[in-house]
Amino acid sequence: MMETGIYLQQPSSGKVHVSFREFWGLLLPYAGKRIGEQSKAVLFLVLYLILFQTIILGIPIAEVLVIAGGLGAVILGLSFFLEGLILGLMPLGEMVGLQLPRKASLSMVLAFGFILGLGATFAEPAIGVLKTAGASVKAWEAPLLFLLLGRYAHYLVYAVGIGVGFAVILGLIRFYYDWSLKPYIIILTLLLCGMTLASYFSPNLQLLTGIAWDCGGITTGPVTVPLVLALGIGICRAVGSNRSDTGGFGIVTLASLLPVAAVLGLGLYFLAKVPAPMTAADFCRKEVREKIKILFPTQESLIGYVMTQMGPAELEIFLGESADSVNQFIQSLAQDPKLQQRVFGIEPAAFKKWIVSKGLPEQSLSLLQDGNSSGEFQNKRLHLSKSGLFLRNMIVAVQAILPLAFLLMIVLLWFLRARVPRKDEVLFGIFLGLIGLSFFNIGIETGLTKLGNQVGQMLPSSFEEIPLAAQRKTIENFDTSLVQTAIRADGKKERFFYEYKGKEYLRRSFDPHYYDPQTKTYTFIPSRGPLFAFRQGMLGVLLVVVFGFFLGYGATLAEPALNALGIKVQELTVGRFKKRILTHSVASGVGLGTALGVIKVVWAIPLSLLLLPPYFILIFLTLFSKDEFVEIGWDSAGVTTGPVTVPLVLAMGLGLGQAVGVVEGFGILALASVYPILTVLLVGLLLQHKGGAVSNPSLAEGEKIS
Amino acid sequence: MKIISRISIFLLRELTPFLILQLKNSGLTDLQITSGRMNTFQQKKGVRNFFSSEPDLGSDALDVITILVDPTIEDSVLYFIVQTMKLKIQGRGSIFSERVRMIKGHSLCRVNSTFMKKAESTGIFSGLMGITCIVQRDEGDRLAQVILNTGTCVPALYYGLGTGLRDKLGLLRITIPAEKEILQLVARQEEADEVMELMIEQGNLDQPGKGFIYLYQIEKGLINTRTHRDPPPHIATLEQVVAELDHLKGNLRWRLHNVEGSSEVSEPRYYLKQLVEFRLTCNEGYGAELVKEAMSAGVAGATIFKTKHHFADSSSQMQISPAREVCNMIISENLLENVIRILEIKRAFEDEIAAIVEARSVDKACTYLVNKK
Repeated sequence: MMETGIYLQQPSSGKVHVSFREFWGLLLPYAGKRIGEQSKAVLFLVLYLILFQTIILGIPIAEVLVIAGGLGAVILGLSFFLEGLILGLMPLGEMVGLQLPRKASLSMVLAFGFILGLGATFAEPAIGVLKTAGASVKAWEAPLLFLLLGRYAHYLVYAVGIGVGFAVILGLIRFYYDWSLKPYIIILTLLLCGMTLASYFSPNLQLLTGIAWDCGGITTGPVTVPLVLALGIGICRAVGSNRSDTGGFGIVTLASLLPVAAVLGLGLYFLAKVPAPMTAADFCRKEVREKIKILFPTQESLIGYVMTQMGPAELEIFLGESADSVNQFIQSLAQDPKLQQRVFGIEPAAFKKWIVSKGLPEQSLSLLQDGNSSGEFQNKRLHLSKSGLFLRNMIVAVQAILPLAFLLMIVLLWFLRARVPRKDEVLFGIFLGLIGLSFFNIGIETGLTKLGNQVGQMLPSSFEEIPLAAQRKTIENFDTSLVQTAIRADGKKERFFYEYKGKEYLRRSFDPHYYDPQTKTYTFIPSRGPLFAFRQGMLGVLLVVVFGFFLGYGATLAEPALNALGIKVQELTVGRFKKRILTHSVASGVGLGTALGVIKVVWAIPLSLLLLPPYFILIFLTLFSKDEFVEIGWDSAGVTTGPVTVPLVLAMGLGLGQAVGVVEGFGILALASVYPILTVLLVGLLLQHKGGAVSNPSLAEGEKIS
Repeated sequence: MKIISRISIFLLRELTPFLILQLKNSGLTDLQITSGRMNTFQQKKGVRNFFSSEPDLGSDALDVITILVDPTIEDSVLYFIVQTMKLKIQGRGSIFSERVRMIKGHSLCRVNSTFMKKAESTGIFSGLMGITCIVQRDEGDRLAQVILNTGTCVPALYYGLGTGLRDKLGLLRITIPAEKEILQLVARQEEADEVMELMIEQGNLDQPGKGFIYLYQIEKGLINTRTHRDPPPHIATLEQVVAELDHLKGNLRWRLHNVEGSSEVSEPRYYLKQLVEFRLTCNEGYGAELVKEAMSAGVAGATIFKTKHHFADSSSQMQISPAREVCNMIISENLLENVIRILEIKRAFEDEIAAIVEARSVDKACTYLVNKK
């Protein structure tokens, strides 16, 4: 080997000029790599949903092009957003975290933390998702829940926000005093389990527990988690905590547990002021009028609610025991548009809609000139204009990122008087994050949620017969002599007929109500399923459970916050805990939780039965695991149930819930949040057991300092 | 400017708290800890062994502890650590010392000058060389495996960020990954050249963008050579026997070990010489900017890694921030003065940044060279 000495010198000029070709030569592989990574993450989920719907359920996907476009937007959005996080938001958070302990007192840091926690809750619209899901909650079946999701929904958000704010404060104090996360977890978990068990004694509170636990899982979205994590890591390093190198974790855990207590506490506060659950008929009686007043802002909106949610019988009871009083009231409505507004809300023609859908025939005839205006409202579909789509989602993205980014910048530049490191990267990162999140949200709305809704609605067809409302059909020139009769075991007769469609003879049940003898048309809604009629659809239920597992698994792999967490964990453990292992452990846990959630909805098992035992097991596992894994495990669970998982799981839950007919379909998310902790802690224990290049004999007695 | 001794210890994370405690009780006031990992071979158990008997690579948490001491106490500190941590028992860690020039530093960057314990000279040898290698992230394990296969030592690996050409590209720099992995190892003088050659070959370190490797002198040290995790069914492990023989013989030269490199060398290897490893340690967050300034003075680039500064709890004194970072630059000797001057202009040695710079000569280095003469 010849050795030659060459001096190492470099041109000292500032910038290197890059040619056009070189520019693309650098940009394209980089962009390709990022987009490729995200495609892999989302692909599993998408293929799975599509294959499941088309092959197993055998139902074609509606609006295929729109959905495909939406999925492309999700992939693109994820790539941009994740890159934006890594380049801009997280370094910003880390720098603020590094400077805070040096230049600000503890109380100022805590105040900042509280504002951050509160702001993050308002910035991210996850709560809104729960509200839309809560639209199906009936005021008489779950009054407290109805109140907190409707009239007092802002109190719910405040409670959650305060919960998160205090969580950040607790988490920061923990860093300063170098306390272990374990006591926090154990005390909080015992407290929450205790509150949940105690809530069993009040039916109102019992119905609230589902959403309380769901709130805990839903807070801390894809922007907050990486930000709070980076902040925590920075603060830990600056404070010099002597704990393991995964200092900085733990805030997310607390932000997932405290809001549950806050919501349950809120429920406790309002408990005395709301009536107990009752039947629909009882709800309309004069005696309870005082008590139910609190559930509605005005008397008129109460009337509107009764009219839209209940049938004519209940309306009669409400308005005063006779058909006359009902007709009188409807007449007064028809004559006073202002009254209509107060009753039905600002949506135009709401009254007309009501007449058409709920009004008795004589009512509609008397009020509308022609009986055919019904057609106008029958098949109305909401068309969201394209520009509205972009604008809406962009506003959501801006609302989620900019306030937090501004807060950090202001704190860094003015209060801490420090420079923003690599300013151009940070600003570019924020910009990427905004674009990414907008596209991501658009894609979720047009692609994933649509797909999820379709699958969610069709899913029960695996074990039950469900009507396909979209395929409502009218048969002309219906010859009633074709209708045949079958007899049931109890002697009742069922009538049916055959329809020839697509070279197949399909059996349709015949209901004389849908037959119009004047026009000789038969209008009906075809139904599908059950796919597996064996043993009351047991196999079908099993299929749905398995579906739930893979839905949770696949959706979690696509979550951006989990990706960001995985990257940080791998970096902090210097490669010992690989990102791949973490994401797959978490995903299996979520899958398990989702599957159990399906079981909960289908068989109406009380949530506590499925939720509390794993928490008790977790207390033991937490005690025996190393601090490092405890922090990572509990934080990963807070990270799941994000913008990808929540809509899909909710859609599935709603579809199932409606088919099965439960009061409330919440709780699946809560289950999907607890089981990943179990899986990660178990994996951690496994690694703990395996590791150890130095077997115990070498470690002398005095050397073990934990 | 003065000559000091820099002691580095690669230690299993489980053992670190004990060592820190012992050192503080003995009068040391400041040290630095960088988180890292070490890999060792692990036999596959049970069914997996059936498919392929090649051993797995298992990783453990490792700490790289750096202590700056006055040369007069170097021996005491070394012997004390070896004795207390029982480093002679293979598998627990390595330790070595280097002579470096401390050029300038903030007043709070102290060099330890008192040590209260005395220990008998045991198990420390001279005739060692150090190798540091910087590669792309996720490439480290492969190189570590190559090193482990030679049986010379167990390297320490930790993460860092690279700066250099990419910082001259403006915003386009985000398309070039900056994440790096740093491997550090100690080998006997006789083997060092061959190990370095093997690493260059296996890691393609002479290709563009693949990495950087350099070799330097070490005063004295003790190497952990336990490359396999599972103790074989003998009374003593081979490493223990070797260690005892080292001690009996008093040196490492008796080991006639041959490192297998490639039999052919197609092209002559060009090494860079007359270089200096310039180490700048400062408060976290300021390194990148300082390196940028240094680059304007002609420095090619740097590798920055995070470290934590530990100090004894003397609450009366002002302390340095625990969050620190180390910027490692390989430069020619003649650039040194300029760089120091630029750092002074940038107030690197004042309270906000609190930097300290050390320099140490490098025997030879290898990387991709643009023009080979």
